[in-house]
Amino acid sequence: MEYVLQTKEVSKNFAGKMAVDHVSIGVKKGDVYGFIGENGAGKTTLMRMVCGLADPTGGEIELFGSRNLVGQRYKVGCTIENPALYPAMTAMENMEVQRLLLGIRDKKVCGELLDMAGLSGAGNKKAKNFSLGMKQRLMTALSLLGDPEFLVLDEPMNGLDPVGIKEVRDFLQRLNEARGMTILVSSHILGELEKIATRYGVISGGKMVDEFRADELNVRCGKNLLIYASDPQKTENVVNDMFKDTRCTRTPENSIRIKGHIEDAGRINELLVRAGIIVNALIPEGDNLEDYFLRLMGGYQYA
Amino acid sequence: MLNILKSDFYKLKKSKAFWICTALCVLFAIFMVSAMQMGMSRAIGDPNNPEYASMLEMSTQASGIWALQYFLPMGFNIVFIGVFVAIFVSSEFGFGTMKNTLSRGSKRIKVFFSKFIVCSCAALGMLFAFMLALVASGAIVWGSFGIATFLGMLSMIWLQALLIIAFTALFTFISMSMRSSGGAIATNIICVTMASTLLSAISMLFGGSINLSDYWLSSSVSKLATLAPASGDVVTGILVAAGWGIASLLVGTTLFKKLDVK
Repeated sequence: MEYVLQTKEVSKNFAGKMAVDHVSIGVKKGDVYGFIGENGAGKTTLMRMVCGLADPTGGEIELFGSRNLVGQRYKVGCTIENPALYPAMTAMENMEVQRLLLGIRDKKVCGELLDMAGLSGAGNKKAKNFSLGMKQRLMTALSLLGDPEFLVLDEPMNGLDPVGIKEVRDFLQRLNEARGMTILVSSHILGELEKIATRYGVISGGKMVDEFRADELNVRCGKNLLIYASDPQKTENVVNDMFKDTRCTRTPENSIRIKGHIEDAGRINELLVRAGIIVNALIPEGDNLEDYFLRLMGGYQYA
Repeated sequence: MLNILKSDFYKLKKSKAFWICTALCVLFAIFMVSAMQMGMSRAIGDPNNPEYASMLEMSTQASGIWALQYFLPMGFNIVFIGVFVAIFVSSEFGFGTMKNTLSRGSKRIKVFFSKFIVCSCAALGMLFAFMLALVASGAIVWGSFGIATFLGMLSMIWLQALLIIAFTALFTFISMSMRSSGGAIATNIICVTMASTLLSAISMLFGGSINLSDYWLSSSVSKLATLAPASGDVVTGILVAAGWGIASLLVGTTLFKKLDVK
């Protein structure tokens, strides 16, 4: 699989403090890479180095398989930290500045992107009068100018209301699915990240802690299946026969808990029904991304 | 480079700071000429006024060109240029928009030079507006453009333009390095108004055999704001402009290349 971004042992030292400490990540083409970490973990510093806003003090960064980063950055759109806009300009004027910078001849592209970001109605309103959600969307539209293949978004959902968060999430999902755009996104709103990310990287104290695929999350989160059935003992026997390697446990509510096997829920239901057991409910339980992240970080001090 | 320039010129067109500072240059020129005329009228109307003789002599020479040569050395326009460059350049860091430029693969040296070129064009525009306003308002108030040879005017404009470009290089370097509008405005104003005095004081500390302020841009602006400058002053002025300009660009680009942008 082709890597869009690879960092190899990248470090950044600020006055003797390692903000990023030998971090290696790989973002593959088509990934929505969720970059997770507590405040000050080094997410933004790493993203800034990827975008050319800071120089690494050690290690290597490759974009699209090349170390000529300046030459590759025209294929990268990025939004780092707060929305960076000219407050006295309108949305269209902000887009125009970036269009001229990128040498895009087609003027219509600005209108189309504003339309896509839901800002075509902003008219003559200056960016300083925009809501945070509008600013975030305008920034995303700006970073999409030049049709980049790779988007780097630092906390794009920060400060948005639930509607705004959903809009940004849907927008990113559309970009990934319809345009095949690779996205590196950091967010503290892990529940939202879980809905779009296909891969995750976890950073803490400047060091990479873990990197895994979304489908690995279920295994790592140790998800269980709870079965509420008419005959718990018979249910336990059927399930034990079915999965020799899995140990069932009985809960105080007389339900049966199976470790893993969430994907086998349909088959379990079928077998139990065939055995004459009435299945009242099959419920997945266990950690979500947030729980897993907190467990990884060593507790709830990061909550 | 051309794309960065196009984008920066678009920002200049939309920059309120540019239009306000240019308007202030023009208004200041008109105000100074008007204030001088009122001062002259008051002094001439009262023979007991201590300034009677000097004002009477001045009034015989007063014209548009005279106003230009009298007020240009004071460098008020350079203060406005310093303020504009500080706002135009530093705001890119304040708003965070420098990130949008650098993250799309623009080379830092090109970004620096684009800012310098655009600010130089704006500074020259402000200089010409100031000069034109002085000549026009002087001609209107005193009823005469004055006498000037084409070559004399051309050399004055050329030398002043060169010095203004050198000032702009210094202002661009300061603003790019400080990255804060307030700090850059203050430093640029200090450069125009206090650097000469400071350099003279330093010269005195070291015995005063060489006056360092002679090699400062403001001194050359003053000495060369005339239709007939001394050839020595012209050579010094060109060398001072080239020295400060090139040094500012070299140090500015070197620092900017190493700078982390937030």
